[in-house]
Formats: sequence, structure tokens, C-alpha cells
Amino acid sequence: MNTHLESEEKKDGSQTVETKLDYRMPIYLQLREIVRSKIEEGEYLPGTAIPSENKLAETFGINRLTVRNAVDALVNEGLLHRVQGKGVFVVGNKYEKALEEEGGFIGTFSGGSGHKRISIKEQTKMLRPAGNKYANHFNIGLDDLIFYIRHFVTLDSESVSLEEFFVPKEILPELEIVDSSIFTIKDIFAFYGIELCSMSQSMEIIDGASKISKLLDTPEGIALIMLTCNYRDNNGRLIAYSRSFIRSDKSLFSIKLHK
Amino acid sequence: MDYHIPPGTEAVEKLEDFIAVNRLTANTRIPSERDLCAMWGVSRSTLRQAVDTLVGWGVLYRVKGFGVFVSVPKISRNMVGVDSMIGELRQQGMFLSKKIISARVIEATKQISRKLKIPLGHKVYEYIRCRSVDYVPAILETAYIDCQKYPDFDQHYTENTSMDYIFKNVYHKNQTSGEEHISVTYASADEAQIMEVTPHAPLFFTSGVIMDENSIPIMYYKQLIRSDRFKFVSEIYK
Repeated sequence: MNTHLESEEKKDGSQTVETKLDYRMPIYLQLREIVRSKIEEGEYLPGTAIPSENKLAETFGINRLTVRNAVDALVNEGLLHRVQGKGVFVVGNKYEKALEEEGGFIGTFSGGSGHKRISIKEQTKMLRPAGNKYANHFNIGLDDLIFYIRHFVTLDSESVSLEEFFVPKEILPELEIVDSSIFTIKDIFAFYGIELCSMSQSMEIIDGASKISKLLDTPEGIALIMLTCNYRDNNGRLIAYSRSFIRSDKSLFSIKLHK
Repeated sequence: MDYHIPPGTEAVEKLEDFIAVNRLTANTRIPSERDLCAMWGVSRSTLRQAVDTLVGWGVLYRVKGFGVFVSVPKISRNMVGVDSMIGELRQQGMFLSKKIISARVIEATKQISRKLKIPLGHKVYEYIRCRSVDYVPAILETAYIDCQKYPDFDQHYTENTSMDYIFKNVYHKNQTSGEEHISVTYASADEAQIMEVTPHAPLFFTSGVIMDENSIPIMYYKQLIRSDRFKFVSEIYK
């Protein structure tokens, strides 16, 4: 099946963008072009899920396997991203060089041996007034709305961290529909043309005897790492703030130093 | 739709903002719980929880019978470059001093030999030093240096010189890049005594290898850093 797909790809590979829909074309290629144009025209927005395979099959009256072939082709092109159990998501434009490559704290979760699976759950996503603290932080009005997103991160069903994001609604209204657990905040900014230019990170050790420790099932006497980050655009404007609480017994950080 | 901030969260944020806006400096007492409750219209238990949260984050501290005070801000250890810490702290106007706790020659353990890329059992200098910032012990550092590559290092290095200076001026080696690992450890009884913290107090544990221009290791080091005095910061620009 795969080799068949690849050869088809190659045959019309160079003209994909201009490919006109032709009823004589294999159905999966037609569907592929339909999905592609819906992405290009903005009907399917970056960071959101496209309709399920069943739904697409029903809409177009075609076989589910055919739908899968079409979707697979776009996944292979990097236009879509499939997440087991969650759906297929539209990948937007990314910036050439990821900011992380420039430095910063790089965290890895550890513990036990063997292959571990990290899962990120979007536990809360809500709009709230900025309030005193964030009005001052983002230089916006007290009642201006900000998104508050909370992720719960587990490693093989063991809790490892809790991540909070604060983003003024005005900066990224699309956050309402984007699934923030699939793509990183940096990717989401890139999808919507917001240029992330700097990140200031700060890492502290905080007392483990808190509500958050309990939420994370942290053993007694184990401290938490609090990692905060301010994200700025090319005008130096603060566009997001994040705060993560990470179990220190489950993580290791590294940073590249330059002379 | 009515948007609101959960009361517990709001109390924490109001308190943080209160400290920032009023520019409360280190060791200033904040108003009493009763006054703050009246001012913000929050319940006593909500406010107490908010104070607990900020005490846990090291923003405030409690003194039994006296009230709640603003903590001394943590010193930012900027993770920009190799050996930039000392110079940077001096620039921030801090008084730094160091004490050599132990200096000896040992045989490289597996860990040391791997880090310095030398055979097991090879002779290395081991220096354990304690650095104080504004007279408070803050960093306990262990450094390993290859005896063969840096002969007579012990003849040159004293409490009054810096290793950086000796590598540069005696051995003509420039320290270039490196990678530092950061994790959390807890003070042993001995370490607690040297660093003036309670036993089991959480500390940053960092380790790294400093290399020369040809990526040959110069020094392998391990540091214990007081987490109530330091935070690590990193600025990344495009």
C-alpha cells in the first residue's frame, strides 16, 4: 500500500499545487486536494482538528480506507499531524529556526527505564479578566480578557508537571479553537503570524508542601521546580507568560553555555 | 458570559501585585491578614492560603508572632556563558568571596574519567570551594582538573586567584563552550553545615564540563547552589 502511494505521489508530485480536480482521478487524490484547499483557504484552521475520518467518509460518500489514504498522504507531506486518540490536526507555517535551538533550559523527564510516553492534557481553558497582576504584566486593562490554559503532563500515567499559560485574548483570539495540547505555544504563534522574538526563562526551586504538590502526587520532602517564561514579539511586546511546576524527582534540565 | 477569576487565584495575584506596585522591599512587613481581608473583601482562609502559596514560592516568609515579611529577592544566575557567573554577580554589586575547603590529588573515578576523557585512575586535582555572596555561603563547588595536562596547577592556584585567570595566563587555554546539567538535590548534614542551611534543604545541583577551543575538556565541575538565594535565568533571542 505504501509503495503504491509513494509512486502516485511522485507521478504528479511537482504539480500538486496546481492539480485540478478531475473526476477521473483516483478518489483519494481528489479528497486529498479537497482537504488541501480547505486548509489553504482557511476553512480548516492551523492547530485545529479536521473532521474525523468517519465524518469525511460520510460527507463524500466514500470508503473510510480511501479517506485514510488521502489523510495519510497529507500527514506525510507534513500538512497534517495525526495524534493517536485525539484526531488529525492542521499544521500551520513554522518559522525556520526554533527558538529552543538558540538556548534556554531544556527539560527531560526521567524515571525508571525503557520507553516512556508523555501525555499532555488540556485540563482548563478559560477566558478571565486580566485582574491587577496581569493587567500590569501585559500592560492591558483590568477587565481585558486573557486566556488561562492549564496542562497536566503525565509520563506513563505518572504526573510530572503542571503548566499554565496566560495569553491576552487580543493577541491570539484563535487560541479559543486551537487545541493547545497538540502544538507548542511557539508553534501556535507561528501559525497565526505572530513572530516570537525572545523568551526570558527563570527557574526556581519551591517548597513541595503545597496544593500543587498534592495535585502532582509529589512524595513528601520532594521540592518542585517552578519554570516561568515571558514571551515577546519583535516589538518587545509581551505576548504570553507561562509558569510550570515540575516534579524535581522526575526531571533533569540542561542548558548550553557559550563563551 | 460572565468572566471571573477564581477567588483563591485572585487573592494570590492581588498579593503579588500589592508587593510589586507598592515596591515593598526585602524584609518589609506586609499589612495584617485582617487589614488585607477588609481591603480586598476576601475571607480569612482564602487570604491565608494565598500567603501560604507565596511563602512556598519564596516570595514571603513568616515570623511567628511578628507577621509576614517580603523575602530577599533571589539572585539571578544568568545562564549566558561559561564562567560568567562571578563577573556578573560582581556587576550586580555583590560582594563575593571564596574559601578552599579541600585541595588534593585523587585518582579519576569512572565518572571523572568519562567527563575529562582520561583513563580511569589517572591523577586529577580536586578542589572543593565554598563561595559566599554578601557574606552568606551560597555555592559549594567541586572541580576536577587533569594533573598531566595542567602540571603544577596547585602551585598557581590560591584563594586569591581565579581558575579562569590561570587557565588563560599560565596555560594559555581559553574556555569556550559547554553544557550544564541542572537538577535538585537535598543538603547532607555536612553540606548543610557549610552552606548554613537546614539538613535536607533543597539545593540546585549543577554539573558541567568546560572545554577549550578544540573541545578538549579543561575542567569538570559540580556545584550545589542554595535555592533560597538563587534562581537561574536564561534569555533567548532570535
